[in-house]
Amino acid sequence: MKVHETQTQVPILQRQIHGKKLVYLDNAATTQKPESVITAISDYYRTHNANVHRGVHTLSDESTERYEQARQKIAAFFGARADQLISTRNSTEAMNLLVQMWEKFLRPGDVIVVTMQEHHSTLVPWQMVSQRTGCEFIVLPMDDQSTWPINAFAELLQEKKDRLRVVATAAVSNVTGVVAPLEKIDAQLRKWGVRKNVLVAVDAAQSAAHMPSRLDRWPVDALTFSGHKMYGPMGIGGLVVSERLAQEIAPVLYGGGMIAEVRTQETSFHEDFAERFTAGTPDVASLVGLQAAIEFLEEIGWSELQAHEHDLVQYAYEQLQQVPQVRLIGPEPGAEFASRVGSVTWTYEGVHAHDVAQILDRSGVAVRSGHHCTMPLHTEQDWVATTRASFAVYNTREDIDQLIAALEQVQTIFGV
Amino acid sequence: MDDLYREHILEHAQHPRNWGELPDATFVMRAANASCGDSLEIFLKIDEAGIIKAVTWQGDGCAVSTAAASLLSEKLVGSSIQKWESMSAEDVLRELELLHISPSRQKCALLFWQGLRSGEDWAVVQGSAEREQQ
Repeated sequence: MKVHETQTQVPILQRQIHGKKLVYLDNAATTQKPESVITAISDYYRTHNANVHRGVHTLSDESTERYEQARQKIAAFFGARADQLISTRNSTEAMNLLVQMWEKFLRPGDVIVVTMQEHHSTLVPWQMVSQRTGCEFIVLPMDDQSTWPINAFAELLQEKKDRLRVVATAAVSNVTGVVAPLEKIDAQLRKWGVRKNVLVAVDAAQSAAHMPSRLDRWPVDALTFSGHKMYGPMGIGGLVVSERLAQEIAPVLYGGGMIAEVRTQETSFHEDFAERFTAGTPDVASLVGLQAAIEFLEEIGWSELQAHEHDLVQYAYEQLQQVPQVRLIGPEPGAEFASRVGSVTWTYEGVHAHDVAQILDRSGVAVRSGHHCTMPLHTEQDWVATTRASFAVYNTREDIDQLIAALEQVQTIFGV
Repeated sequence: MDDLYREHILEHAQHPRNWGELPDATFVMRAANASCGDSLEIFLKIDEAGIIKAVTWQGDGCAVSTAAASLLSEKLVGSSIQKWESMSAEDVLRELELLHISPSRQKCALLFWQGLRSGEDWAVVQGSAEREQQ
């Protein structure tokens, strides 16, 4: 499938908003859904619905087969086997689950490191567990170019390498589009010989739809994702763990399906990893929908998708630079795709981000305003709120032209 | 939506009334909208009968929250703080002529009122408390 063909595959893009064609530029919040995803969910409920692994009847077999296939497809997309995937509601739940499972290894004085640009879904769970366990929680400020603070991380290692236990970060920032230098982080840990003592956890929520996000290529121990940010349904996501980590963690959710034997005073757990970490009935329909979303991405292919989205980010950056009141945030997109991924964020002199977004909506342009669940970053940079346009494969340069035209309305209304 | 940015809202947003600190305030209230970063402080002088004698406020916010704070601040003097505490969100939006505002912007329009009804969270201004003790 060619990039330009994707627009006709997503039904909601035909909607009119306030009499104008919808220009959907809030894809970092959630992407819109292709027809194939909607159909897969609908077909599952219309034709195959039954509980998995529970019955011996035909529908239960069909449902189980689709469930297993979907899990394999999703795990493979993230460079893992199905027995390394724990399904969750979203990336936030996956990170919380990882924190809960890792808590038993943390001791007072251990060091946990995140960066200032982390989404609250990473920052808060690790901050909370630090408080519970007496760990030192370090939030690295971004460097001068707003890129990932690898130099500050290297300095921190000199002093605290022996106590470092966790590095948690987003693969791609949801505000600045900054890509985390995972190879460099790994190299620093290896340089000091502490790699094996440290859990490296990566939130792939903002990378999964934009670039290969694979546990077999990234030097990390765990990866979290949200299906709804990669063309799949809301309510499904996952935690993908390395083989090493899979051996070390134990379930923290108990119930049906995950057990081997239950007696009144004791319980043993299922031998199979996926079963052991799936308490209760899984969301089969959403897993099947997410499988369809992955097939949608595969039909396009990474090279065409990445080239198109990089063009969108660069074009948007250049066009917004021409608007005198706009101050862009984060690094300038360079020639390299990985220099900035997925979004462009700005402040508008004299007008609050909410008002900018509201006026853009009048022209059918959907963007996000606020602090995008990154309050520490906004506080550090002294931004009350910012406006973000974030892209998907179905967006076009014309969408960005419509955004720029709509921004003129802000000037007209506010007279700035 | 089309009349959200009507003239008097924009005028209050750009020239908010009762702006600044109040040196002899008896109470300071704060309100913040965690989802967007808006925050404001309200300075009130309230007499023993609970009647508001003076009000000022300051903060960072969008046009809607700024205009709503400005408009409401003009209505406070002479009324009882209990009256504002007992009002519903709908009552406040009616006062502001913003009953048809979208759900996502209601939080903006109601931020100042949220501060007013933060009740037990009121912080008595240090100087005033000392004066009261004397």
